[in-house]
Amino acid sequence: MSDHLTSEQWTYFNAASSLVRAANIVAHQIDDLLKPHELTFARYEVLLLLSWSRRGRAGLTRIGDQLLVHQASVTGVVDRLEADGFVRRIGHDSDRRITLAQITNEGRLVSALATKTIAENLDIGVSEDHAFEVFELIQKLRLASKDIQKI
Amino acid sequence: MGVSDPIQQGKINWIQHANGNVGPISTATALIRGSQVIQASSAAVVPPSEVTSAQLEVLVALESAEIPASLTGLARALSLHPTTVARTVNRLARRGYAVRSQDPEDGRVAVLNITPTGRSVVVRALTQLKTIKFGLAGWDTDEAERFIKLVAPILDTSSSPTGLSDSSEVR
Repeated sequence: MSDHLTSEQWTYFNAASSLVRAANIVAHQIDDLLKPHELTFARYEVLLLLSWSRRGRAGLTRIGDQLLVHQASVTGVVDRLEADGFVRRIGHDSDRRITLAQITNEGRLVSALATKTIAENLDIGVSEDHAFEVFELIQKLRLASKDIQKI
Repeated sequence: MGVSDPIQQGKINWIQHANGNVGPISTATALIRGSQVIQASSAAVVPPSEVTSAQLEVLVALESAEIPASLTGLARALSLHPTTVARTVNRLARRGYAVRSQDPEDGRVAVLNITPTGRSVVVRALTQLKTIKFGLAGWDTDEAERFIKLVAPILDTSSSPTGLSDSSEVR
């Protein structure tokens, strides 16, 4: 390595590039597993959030806050899910300014099937202990970057 | 809900709803989120319109190469698929940060050189990024080293052309 950085700084450089690369790789693995279900990771995540929520519905803003998709792309993701018959937009009971996405039975079915596929097939190649350690390290990182409080 | 963190909540949900091994998916979503977080902090000091993290990585490798690098040599050094490297190199060439030329010893092989513009981009970007510890201010060096070791098996898939890319649908 060249001498722009100290060896400690190079460690950070390498760790950062490992993180970005690892994230790209697992995102592609998940996308590949979802392809037979005609879902993308972004669409699948929205379905999951809805299927896990008590009444199967959530406001679009909250979806954007909760998920990895960018706020701006939530609308597009929900559009596509609606076109596929997996969600439908409904108005909020008391606040007409809020649009909710409601998961349909078809949406529940496809997300359950996709979840089964991922739970059975996703193998990121690290042991359970190591996967847990990675999880904890990233939580620490996010905490320091105020990513956790922010949401 | 009690837990306001979507990644943590996601993990709990997976445990409650999915019958299967939740380790991989929880860790995968954490990685994806972590990557977004550090890319956002990096983009704040080095805009992707100047150089992306994928491009910077290739530029740094080109700069530290003792001899002009071939595409395959570069791919090997970075543990990336040649297709992925080729795509990044195309972008670097378009920006004037790197140039292709013929290997003087074997005219069939293209070699890559960093340009003076490319060098100054590297210096500027690294100077900026080190002030924010490359987005990893939450870790000490031991943790950064530990992380590199832990995820090495994930990265060891250089046969698939996905490791390092600028396609940002799933950033």
